[in-house]
Amino acid sequence: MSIESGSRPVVLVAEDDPDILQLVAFRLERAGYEVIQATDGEEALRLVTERQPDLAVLDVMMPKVTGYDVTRQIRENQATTKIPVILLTARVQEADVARGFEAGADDYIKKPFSPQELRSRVQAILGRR
Amino acid sequence: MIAFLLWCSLALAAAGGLGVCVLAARRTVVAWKGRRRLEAEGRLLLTAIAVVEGDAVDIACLSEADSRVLASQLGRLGGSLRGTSTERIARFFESSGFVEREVRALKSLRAWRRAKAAFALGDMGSPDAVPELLEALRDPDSAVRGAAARSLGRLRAATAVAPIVSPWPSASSPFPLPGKLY
Repeated sequence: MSIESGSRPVVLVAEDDPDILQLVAFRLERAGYEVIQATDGEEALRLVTERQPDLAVLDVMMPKVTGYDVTRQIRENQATTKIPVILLTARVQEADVARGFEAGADDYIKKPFSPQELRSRVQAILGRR
Repeated sequence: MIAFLLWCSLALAAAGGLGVCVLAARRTVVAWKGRRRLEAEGRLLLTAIAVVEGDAVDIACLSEADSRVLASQLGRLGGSLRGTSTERIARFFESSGFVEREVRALKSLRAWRRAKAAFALGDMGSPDAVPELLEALRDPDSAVRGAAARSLGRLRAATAVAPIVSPWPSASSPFPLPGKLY
C-alpha cells in the first residue's frame, strides 16, 4: 500500500547503526512515507519538537539519550504527547519490553526484525489515526 | 674502541629510524585502507539494501574488493534482520557464488582462513553450508571449531545440537559439556 504524494505522513526514524537506519528509511520511503532521520537520542528529541512527526520509530540503545527517555520526554511534552512511538531494539527480556511500554511506547519490535513487519506496524498505527 | 662504540650507536640510531619509518608507513597504509573501506561501504549501502528489498542486483560490475565489502555489509545487516529479508540475503550469497567460495575455503591449509570462512558462512544465512559446518566442528583448530559452532547457531541448524553438546573425542575441545542431550 503506498500513499499519495502531497499528503505523506512524516515518520521519524532514530537509530545509531547507519546501515539499519538507511534500510528502515528506504523501506518506509518506498511505502510512501516522508522519513526524517536521527542518529542519536538528542537529535531525535530535537526533530520531534521541530517537525512533530506523525510517528516515531526509536532504537532503544542510542548515544546521548536512550529510546526509553526519548519516549518519556515525548509523552511529557504537551505538543508531542500524542505522537505514536514504536521501539526497535535488541533488548528482548520481558522487563525491557515492560519498561518500553511504561515509558509510553505504543509498540515494541525486537531485533532481529523483519522490515516488512515494521512497515505493516507503521501502517497499522497510522491507519488508525 | 671509541670508533667501534660510535659505529654501534650510529647503527642503532639508523635501525631505530628505520623502525619508526616502517611503523609510520604501516599506519598510513592501514588508515588509507580504512578510509577506502568506509567510502566503499557508503557507496555500496544502497546495493546492499536493494538485495534485502529483493531488487535485481548485478554484481558482475563490482571489483573483487567491492564484492567483499558488499558481502560483509550484507552479513552485518543479516544479523539484525529476519524473515524474507534474510532469505533474500542467503539467496544472493548462494547465487553469486559467495557460499561456494567460503565452503571451499573451509578446506584451506591455513587455519585462520578456515576460521574466517566458518564465521562468514554463518552471516550469509545459507542452509546449504550446514553439512560443511558440521564437518568443521571436527577441525583440529579450536578457532575453526568455535566459528563453526557460532555459525551453526546463527543458522539455527537443529542437526548441530547433538554434535556440539555430545562428548568430544579431543581433550582440547572448546565444548567441554559432558553427557548427552537428555
